[in-house]
Amino acid sequence: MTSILAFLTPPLLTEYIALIPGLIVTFTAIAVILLDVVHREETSREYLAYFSAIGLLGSIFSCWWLWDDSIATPVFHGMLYADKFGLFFAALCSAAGVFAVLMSPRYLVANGMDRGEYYMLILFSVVGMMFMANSADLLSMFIALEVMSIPVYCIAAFLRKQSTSAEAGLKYFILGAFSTSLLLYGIALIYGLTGTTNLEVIGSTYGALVASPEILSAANGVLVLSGILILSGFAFKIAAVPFHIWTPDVYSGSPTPAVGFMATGVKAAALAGMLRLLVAAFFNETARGGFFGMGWIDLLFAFALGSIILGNLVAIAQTSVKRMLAYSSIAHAGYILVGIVAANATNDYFLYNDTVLFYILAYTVGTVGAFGALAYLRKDSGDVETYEDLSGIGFKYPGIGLIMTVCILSSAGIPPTAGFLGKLYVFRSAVDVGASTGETSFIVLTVVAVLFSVAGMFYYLKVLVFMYMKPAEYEVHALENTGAKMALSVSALLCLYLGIFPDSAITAARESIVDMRGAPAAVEAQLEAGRKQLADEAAKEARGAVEPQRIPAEEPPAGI
Amino acid sequence: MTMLLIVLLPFLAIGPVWFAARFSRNASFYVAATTTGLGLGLLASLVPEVMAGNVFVDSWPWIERIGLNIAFRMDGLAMLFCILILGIGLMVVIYAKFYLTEDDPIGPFYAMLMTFMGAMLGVVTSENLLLLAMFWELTSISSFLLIGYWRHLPAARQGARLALMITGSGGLFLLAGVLLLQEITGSLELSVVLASGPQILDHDLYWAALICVLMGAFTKSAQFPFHFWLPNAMTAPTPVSAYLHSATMVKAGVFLLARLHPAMSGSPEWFFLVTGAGLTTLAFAAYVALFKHDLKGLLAYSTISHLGIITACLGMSTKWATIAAVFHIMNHAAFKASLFMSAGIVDHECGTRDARLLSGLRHSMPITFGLATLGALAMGGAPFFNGFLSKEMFFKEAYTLSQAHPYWPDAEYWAWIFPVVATVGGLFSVAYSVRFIHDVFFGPEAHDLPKHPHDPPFGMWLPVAILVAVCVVVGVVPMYTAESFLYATASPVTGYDMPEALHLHWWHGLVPELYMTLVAIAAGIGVYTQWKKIAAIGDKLPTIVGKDFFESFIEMLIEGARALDRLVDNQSLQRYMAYTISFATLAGFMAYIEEGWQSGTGVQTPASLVSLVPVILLIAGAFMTDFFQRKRLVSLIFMSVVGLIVSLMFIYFSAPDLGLTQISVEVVTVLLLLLALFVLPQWNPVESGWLRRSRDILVAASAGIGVGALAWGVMTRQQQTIADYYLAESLPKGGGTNVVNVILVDFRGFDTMGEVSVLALASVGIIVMLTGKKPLYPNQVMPFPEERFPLMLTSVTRVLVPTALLVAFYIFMRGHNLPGGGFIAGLVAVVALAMQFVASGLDWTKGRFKLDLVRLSAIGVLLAVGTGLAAFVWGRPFLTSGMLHLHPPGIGEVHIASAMAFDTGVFLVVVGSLVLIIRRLSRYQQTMEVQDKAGGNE
Repeated sequence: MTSILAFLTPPLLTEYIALIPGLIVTFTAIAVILLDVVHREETSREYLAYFSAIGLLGSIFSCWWLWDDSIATPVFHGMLYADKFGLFFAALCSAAGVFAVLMSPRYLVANGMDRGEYYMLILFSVVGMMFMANSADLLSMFIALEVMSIPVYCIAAFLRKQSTSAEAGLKYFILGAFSTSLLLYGIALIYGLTGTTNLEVIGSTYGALVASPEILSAANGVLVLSGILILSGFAFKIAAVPFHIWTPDVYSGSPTPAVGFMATGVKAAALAGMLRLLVAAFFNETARGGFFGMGWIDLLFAFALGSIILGNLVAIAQTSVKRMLAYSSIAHAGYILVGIVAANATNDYFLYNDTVLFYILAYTVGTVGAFGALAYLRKDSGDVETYEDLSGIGFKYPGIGLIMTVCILSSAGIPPTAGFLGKLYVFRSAVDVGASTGETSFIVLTVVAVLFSVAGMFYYLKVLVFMYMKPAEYEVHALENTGAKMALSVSALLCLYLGIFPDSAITAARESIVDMRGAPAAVEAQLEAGRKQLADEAAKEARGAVEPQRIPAEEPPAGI
Repeated sequence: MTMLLIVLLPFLAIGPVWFAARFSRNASFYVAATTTGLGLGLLASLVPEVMAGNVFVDSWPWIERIGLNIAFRMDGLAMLFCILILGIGLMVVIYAKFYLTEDDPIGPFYAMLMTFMGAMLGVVTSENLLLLAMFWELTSISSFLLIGYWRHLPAARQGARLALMITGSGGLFLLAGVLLLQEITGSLELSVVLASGPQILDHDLYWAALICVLMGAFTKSAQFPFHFWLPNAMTAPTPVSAYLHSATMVKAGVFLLARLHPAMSGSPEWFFLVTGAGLTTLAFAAYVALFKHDLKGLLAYSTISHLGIITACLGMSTKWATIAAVFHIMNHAAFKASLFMSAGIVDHECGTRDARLLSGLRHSMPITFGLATLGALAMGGAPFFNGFLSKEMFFKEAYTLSQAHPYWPDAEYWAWIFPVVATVGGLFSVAYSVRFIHDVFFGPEAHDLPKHPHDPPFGMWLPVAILVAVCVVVGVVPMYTAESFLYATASPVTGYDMPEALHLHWWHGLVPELYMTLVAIAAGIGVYTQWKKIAAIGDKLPTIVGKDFFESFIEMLIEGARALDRLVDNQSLQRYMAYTISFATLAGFMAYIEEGWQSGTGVQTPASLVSLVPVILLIAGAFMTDFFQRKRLVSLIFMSVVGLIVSLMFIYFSAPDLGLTQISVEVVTVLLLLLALFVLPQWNPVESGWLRRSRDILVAASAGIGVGALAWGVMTRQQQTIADYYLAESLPKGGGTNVVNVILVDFRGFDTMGEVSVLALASVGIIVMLTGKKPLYPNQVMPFPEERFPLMLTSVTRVLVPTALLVAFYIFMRGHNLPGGGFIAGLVAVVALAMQFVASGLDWTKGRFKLDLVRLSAIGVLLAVGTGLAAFVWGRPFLTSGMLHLHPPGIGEVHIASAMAFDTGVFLVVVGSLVLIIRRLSRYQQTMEVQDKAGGNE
């Protein structure tokens, strides 16, 4: 019963750094709701948005501050990790939150729902996202998932006077609850098989289970089933086909600035959780499978293929920009999954997981900007939703038009934006892996991904055609607001900055992967190579070398 | 550094150009012209070195991890294109100043032109292939903006979109090709790629890389079958057409072929694909050009045709063919840009560019006439013009191919196709050149033109004159003007494998190519005289228009997408649920399919035959619940049957505490649901069709079978349960023998605390949600019965309340050791109170039961939390339970555990919250009644 005794020892003081970003946001959320309680009904709540943004920025700052303080072992009795991977996503989700809260005040007023709860919900959801990314245990991960999801359900239904929003909330909640139950069932089965919920212990127990043939024959069915159930639950959260069905309805009904948050933060956190779970607990060869050895790689492969094809195709048919962006977010989930499949199909390319992180980052800045720009505009009769509503906006509101253009170009993956580099980075890793493994199926996946990103151009550029090449027909006006304008400008600038000077972001992504706790021993060699390379780069940076660098023709697969 | 500056200059000028337009149109023009001139000056400083055969490479690291560097390369080929881009760019900048009217915003125009210029310079000077691909996409986008410059024209919009879709997609293919080349050679740097030709040709991925690169090149250079975007792009303002769609952007495709020629040519794939595309395009486009009435349309197809010549030359890939390609690139740029500008002048001055309307302009526009004629002669390939020289070289190579080639050592019949197609192309080229001049400038003077034509201002014809002068000078004295330049520019394309010396002459003696030219000229003029008859025949032939094909493809794609959209996305939650559950079930079944399913070997608990009866009842009850789901009350009754049997089964399997809990929960749940039924509309929703019902049955059945099989499989396997642990530790650690209760209040006390908080919150939520709410459809709600409170029921329940409360207390007190506990006690009390509501009415009960229920729940939660916190006083973790054994005289041992206080909290919350909910729901009903009455009075 040592474990019981272990539970009685209080955590070390240093372990609390795993909580700091989350705590900052939690306290901000509590402060927001308390401020709102003493608030008079009819006065503006815009300052709550700024207050929340400051709290979230504080948490981003703390992530930067704590960047080098990662702890090698799980903290809080094996519940959380304190590592760069977690901090990366904590900062990313906080950033998504900053954009969402800053873009909201005028939108909420215009919809007659200027309530403080909105900010609190976003903040609490961010807290869930943060812990999602640094959970070291299925239980803490599940709790984080719920802390993230429940506020988001509420946000979806926040414009409760509008039937579309109420419907969105209801659909999201019912389908979300179902998917959560799948996840929970999977967790229960895994617990039943391994007797633990700790990711790393599951990882080692799993290895022991599949090592003995008779246990394997008896338990493999349930092992596979538990993996499938867990992945299905996550697939719902990241909106991957075939668990994507809720996405367009929820995105089109929910308050527009919050959709940007839902599409990025929730997706990013769920991907972070999923990646951590798969790497720490299911990295075993048998569980992984790969290229139809039927393991989770194959499942994600199928999800990716379906998401890319369906997301891009159906997006073409949409008349509403919000729905189009919803379907394109499904497609983006597919591209991200391509990255995950490429990086984890073999041990050799583990470091390519940083492409996934960079892609998520690029996707986030582009998407929040696009939804924010939509939220910034308003028709007399309601939200700006269709392509027609955007007619002539590029000349009527040049600033918003420009921001929308940059974000759309980034989402479409056109240089020199972040989205282009993200796609390039993911596709290149896919080409690398495809060429070195020679897997036809994987090459097909890559080709499909590239071809359908061509289809993606079609519907993204339609936005630009309407904005710049059609005369303004509708009575659309802008909801002038300094905070929103600032947030929008920053998102557009980030799209460009990350596209032109991506080095710091790529390095951060790489460091996050190299520092990822819970990574199995099988990839230790790759991690070591990554560490060495990062150290080399840092040393070179310190020397201030500027002479052109040529990549050697024979490069080791692990260290790009 | 100079190279970086050359590329950057136009980009730096974007802002100033736009900004200057606020002051005056001239300011914007001067900035644009100065920038271009400056670029030319910078370029001139590099020219001598490059002519001497030097190659400059400047490189700065950018994103090293993906091998992307800001690297520029200046060699002959890059220099040629830079001169074209900047030189013709300067002409176009000057020309546009006069061409655009006062209504056209000039700032954005020059800004976009500068963007394009910079992007194009980037394409031709990039040393890094990835950088090249990025600039490539930028040229597509800036061309898209320039084509769509006249926003008021829907055709401009369509043309712009078509162009962007084709060239932009081609760019993505190029990107893929570049990545593949990197995969093959390990580098993105041109120096490495160009040096590893054999390695590329031998690689497995060569064909894939080749196809990707060719897709990029062919789309950009409008080669068959991707040619159709170019004529549609002619809606652009003429300076744009002259610049982008004849001299520079469309040349990017052939530039790419030329650039990668040393590395990728030399295979049969290259030869047949490139030559084939080039020859097809050359003949087909020249034929179509003849029948275009729109002058710009004619020139557009002629451009396609000439690009075909260049492509074919590069495809043939012999030394001289390659040189011919480079030579024709510069010649074509000069004469075609001048012709576009002439067409623009005609359009500008006459208000139309329809060759059927225009006639006899030589009288009113003599200067334009002269310049256009010279340009057209060069285009037609007349001797003493530059077009003649490169065309001769091409003819010669085409003829050589008919004789022998490494791929077919002996002369073959079919190989004659090369010279024949070349001659046919030349023939039509002559014909449309003649038509261009003859229809527009000769004949009777047209008087019904939209404008009265006269020669344009000096600034407009000057650029044309300069370009025409180049054509003539090169054509007459090639040996002094073009020889060394061509040598320097063609060297990189041939991989520095040049002939000893290059001699350009317009007289080679009586050689086959001369005969070909003569045939082309003679037949061309002949064809022109008969062109209307040929057109009449041509009209009868079925035409396959690429644009239509492409558009129907897009249409099909969109139709397909819509169909898919309708299939998956009808915004109905039922369908979404059906999809999601089906996929989840399918995913679950995957495990069975993959691993098979077998029952476990665990010992099964024996069951008597009699016990089957309740099981059958249970199943029947579940079925009936589903069957009567539209009749809510009946369904509810069957549901309560299920619940009752479940609690009976608990008792049968010796779990009386569970049975007790289950039955009290059942009663309260049914009561709550009954109350809720009052609020719901009585009208049944529309019954689904049989198709949907069968679907639902199928989904539900497969999900049920899957989960059932899983449950069976898991439960029949050997397993360690945690029950033993609880059984063993319940008394020593929790101080109670009722394990269920000890689990609730001790082992899993944290859970319970959370749950009671949730319960309390739920009740608060229900109050908030129902306050001030009216039912959606008041008239659909079940009418309230007339006779409300039957006397018998009233009197019996009133006596029962104290008894029931006593029972509750008893159950509560014994809870720690025997079946019972706070939760069950609370439920029993709730049942007692609820009966009062039912029997005696809301007001009566409320008058006598004056507790503040919200406060009660709150006290309950606080008590539970407080008990947990109390453990800290003894230095124990949260919710550690303590116990006390007292021995008061006369009563015997009294056992007091801290869990009891916790349990009290649970009790209070259960009572408070549930009664609150019941009362609130009843109150809701009452509001409706009041409204009904009010409604009736009106």
